[in-house]
Amino acid sequence: MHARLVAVTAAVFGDHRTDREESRECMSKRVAPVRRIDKGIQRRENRMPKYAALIYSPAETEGTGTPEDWAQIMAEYNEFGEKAGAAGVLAGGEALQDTATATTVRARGKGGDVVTSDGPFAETKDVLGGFYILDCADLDEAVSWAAQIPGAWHGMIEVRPLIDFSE
Amino acid sequence: VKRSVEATIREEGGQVLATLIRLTGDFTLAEDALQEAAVAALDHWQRVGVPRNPAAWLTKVARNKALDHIRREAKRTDKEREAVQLLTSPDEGIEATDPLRLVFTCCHPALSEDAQVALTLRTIAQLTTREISLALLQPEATVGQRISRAKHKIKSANIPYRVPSDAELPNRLPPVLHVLYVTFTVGYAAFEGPAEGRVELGEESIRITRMLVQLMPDEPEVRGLLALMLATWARRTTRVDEHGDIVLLADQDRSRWDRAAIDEAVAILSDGARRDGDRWYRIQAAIALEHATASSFAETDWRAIAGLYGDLSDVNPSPVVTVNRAVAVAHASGPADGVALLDAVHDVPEMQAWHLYWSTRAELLARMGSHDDSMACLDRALACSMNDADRRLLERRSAQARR
Repeated sequence: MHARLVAVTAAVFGDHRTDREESRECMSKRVAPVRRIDKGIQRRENRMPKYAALIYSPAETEGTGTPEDWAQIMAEYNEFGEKAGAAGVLAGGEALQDTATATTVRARGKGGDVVTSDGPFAETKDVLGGFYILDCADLDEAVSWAAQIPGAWHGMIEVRPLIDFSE
Repeated sequence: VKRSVEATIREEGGQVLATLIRLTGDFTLAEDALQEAAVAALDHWQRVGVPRNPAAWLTKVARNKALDHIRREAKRTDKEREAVQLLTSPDEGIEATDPLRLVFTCCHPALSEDAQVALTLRTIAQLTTREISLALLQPEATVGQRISRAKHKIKSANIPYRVPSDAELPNRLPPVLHVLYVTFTVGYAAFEGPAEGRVELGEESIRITRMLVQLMPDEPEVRGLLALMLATWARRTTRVDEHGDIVLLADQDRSRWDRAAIDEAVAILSDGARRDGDRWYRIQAAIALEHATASSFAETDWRAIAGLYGDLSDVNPSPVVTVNRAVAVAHASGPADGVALLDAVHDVPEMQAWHLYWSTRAELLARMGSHDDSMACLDRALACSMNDADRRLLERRSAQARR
């Protein structure tokens, strides 16, 4: 799992170093991704991030794959991160640990009893593995970038426009 | 006067709306502004007459109405400021390609096919939700919901308002052709039964397809669709008699077919620069032209038509194509061969519920001399749902067969 995480993390962060320890360190320090991104990536001026590209993969492939598989996927994510980063499209993103690590939290009303349960809130055929925030002019551009995310061929990408609260 | 003013507003509405959406970047705002401009036009034109360029008049008034709307909003956002800029720049007016932009946006692959069709009928063809629901045989509430959801998605997902680039066209074209084919069919159906479709819809679909041909003159399927529309449209007035009853192909007055349109269709189809790629519409156009250019029903080249239906089955096999092919094969080589083709799709549920499957079977069985079986098929046909004109035709045939 770590290999995958590093791959996605490295790509998300526009960081070309794929050294596992490096990325782990960055995760454990809980470095805010946006800050790291702002350092490494040229953002387009005066443009709000507009689309979330949610990366899904079939649940049955979760946690499977040989180290060679992950190395391959890692290379693909690096390639995407490099390209999208250079184009100024990447505005953020994170990779998620697998669904076995998920905890679902509900509160009975505001300030009420908190109920936690193991696992994601729903068992689904496809699971969310990570996301990018893409800075794109319109849906066509967002789709063209989403199609280049490795998750598009290992699973699927859901593109969702973000709400712009400044409007 | 009121009626002609209303007709003008309706005819020009699609073009005006297409321009307004470009200028405002907002479907709903554009629709509201056009609505208000139409009210103003109805009043003004009845008093002073319809202006020389009604579309320009409507656009100008609607532009000002849209501007009023935006200015009334207390808090202006960047987007609205942009819109105000667009709306107040002096030379921004109607562009001929605006309807094309609108069609590509309405037929964006990020919208469902049902939504694409409904939205195109609503905007380009200016049909009301009720008219669309009648034309598509879908509940009015469903149609209304689809349209408003599609408009919401276009706005919030920022689906661009433009004709796609050359690189994108191969992916973007098929839904557009499909939707134009559907809207054309709805317009064509207006010649049958209660006029649930609208005649202008056929003409509007042809007009937009013509624009597509100009945009991509080398695209064989676009030419194919235009040729299919023209060849079909050329025969429209002979398909129904003065009582609204269907006139079969064999009985149609061929001297009333629109020769100019048929000639144009022949030229468009033979003129295609490229012959590779998809052939779905080109083959259908070729079939329509075989009929349109036959000097009489007796001289129809059924062998050629049967072959073309075979090609069509290869491109996209469907039971409906098979039923059409069975008719051509029955004419070319005898009813038994036709029935054999029908047998292959007999168990498809859609065929069991389709009146034309049963009436075709009835016809071929009658020609083979199996009158009892034929009668049973006619009864099955009459048990299906269909429009009034088709039902009257089947009832006539059933009465004749019983004599």
